[in-house]
Amino acid sequence: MDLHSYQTSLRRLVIGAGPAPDDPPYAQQLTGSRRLEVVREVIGFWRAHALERYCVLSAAWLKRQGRFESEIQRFITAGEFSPDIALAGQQFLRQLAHDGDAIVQALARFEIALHETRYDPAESRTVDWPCDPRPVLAEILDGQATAPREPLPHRLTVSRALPGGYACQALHLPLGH
Amino acid sequence: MKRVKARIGTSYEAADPAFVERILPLVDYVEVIPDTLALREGRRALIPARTLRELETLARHATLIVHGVGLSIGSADGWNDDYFALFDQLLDAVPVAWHSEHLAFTHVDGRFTGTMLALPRTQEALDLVARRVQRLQQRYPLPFLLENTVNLLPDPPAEMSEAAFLNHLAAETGCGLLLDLYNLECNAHNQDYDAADFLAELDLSPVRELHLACGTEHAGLMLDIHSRRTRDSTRALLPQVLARAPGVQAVIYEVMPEALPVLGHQAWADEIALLDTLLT
Repeated sequence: MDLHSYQTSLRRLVIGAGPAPDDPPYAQQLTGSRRLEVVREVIGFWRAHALERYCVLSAAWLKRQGRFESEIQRFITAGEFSPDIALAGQQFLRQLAHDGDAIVQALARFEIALHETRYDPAESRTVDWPCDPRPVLAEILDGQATAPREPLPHRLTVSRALPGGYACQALHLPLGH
Repeated sequence: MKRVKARIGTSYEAADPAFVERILPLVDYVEVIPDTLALREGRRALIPARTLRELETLARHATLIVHGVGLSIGSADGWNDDYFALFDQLLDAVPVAWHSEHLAFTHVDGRFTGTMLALPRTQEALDLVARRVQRLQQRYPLPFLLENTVNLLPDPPAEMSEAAFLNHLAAETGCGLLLDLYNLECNAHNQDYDAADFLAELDLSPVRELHLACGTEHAGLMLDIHSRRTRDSTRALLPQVLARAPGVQAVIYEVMPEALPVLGHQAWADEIALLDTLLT
C-alpha cells in the first residue's frame, strides 16, 4: 500500500465520507469500527468548538433547532474545511447560506455581512429575511422562545456606520393584509 | 554525551495577562504554537504585531521554543507551506532556541483531515519524512525535533516498530526528538503495549525536549487533550527518562487555554512547581 493511497482513504473515512471499493485492507478494516467513530467524534468536537465561537448567531440558532451537530457533521463530511477558525467559519456560514430553511439562510447571510463589514464603516450589505429578524435575534440573545413568526419580508442593512451595526425595514405587507 | 540540566517550561498561546504575572516567573522555557498565535487577514494568516511584541517581552524572561501543529510533515503530496510564513514571522521577531513538529499528517491533497493522523511506519514514509527534515534543516539554522503522536486508530501497517521508526529518523537526519510522555502513555494504553518496552528500544540520546500533559478517557481510549494536571503514572516516567536521556534541556507542561476556566492558573502554577521538583 503506497502512502498517498493510505492517506487518501484514511482522510475519507475520518471525515465520514464513507469507504471506497478500492480502499486498502487497513482502511476496510476501520470501516464501522468504534475507534473510527471516536476519531470522528474528536474531529466534530473541535470543529463545533471553533465554529460556535466564530458563527455565534447561527450556531446558537441551530442549537435551538436541534440541528447544530448534524450541520457540523454535514460540514465535515463535505470535506472542505480549514484548520483556521476564521476560514472554517466563513466556509460553514456559506454552507448555511444555502440551507433549505429560509431563516437559517438569512441568519447565515446576516452573520457573513457582519464579518465582512466589521472593520470598514464604508462597507455595507443588505440581507433579505422571510420574516421580521428582530424576534429571531432576540430569541438567540435572550434564549427565550418568541411568538410564531409571521411571513413578513424584511431587509436588514448591515454597516458599522449604523447605530448598533444594522437597520431593519419591512419590505411590504403579506398577501391578505 | 555530556549531561545538560533539564529545565522547566510550559506551553502558551498569548494574550493572557495572568500568565505573565503567575506562570512566567516559574519557567525557563515558553513554548508557542505559530498556528494558534495567528489571525487571518484576507487570504493570509499572520501573527499580529501586538502578539509579537508580547513574545519579545516574554523572550527577555524565558527561552522561546516553537512547536508546530500544522506543517503536516508526513503528507505524501506535500507539506503545508502556510506554516513557513508564520514561522518566518516569528524568527524575524524573536530569538527561538529550536522548533519541533509532530510525526503525523494533517492534510491530504491540500485538504485538512480535522485531526493529526499517524503515519504507517513504512520505508516510504520514513524516506519522505527524512527528506523533509533535511529540507527544514537546510532552511533554518536551528535544531529541529520530531514528536511522537497519539494514535486512536488501530496500529497502521508497519515495517518497523514506533521506536525503531524514530531511531531511524534521528540517525539518518541528525534531528532531535521531542518525547511526549503523555502521548506515550496514551499509545501504550490505546495500542496495548508496554511503555517500558518502547523506552527500552528508543535511543534517548537525541531527545532534547519532553512533554507532559493529561487529557481524558473516552470510549476506553485515552485522548491527547491538554486539560488536566499530570497523572502519577506520567510523572513516574519523568525521572526514568531523564536518567537515560542526557540531552534533555526542556520539560514542558502542556495546557490548552480552553482548559483554564476549569483548571485555573493556580493549578497550572502548582503543576509546574511539582514537575520542577522532579528535575533535580
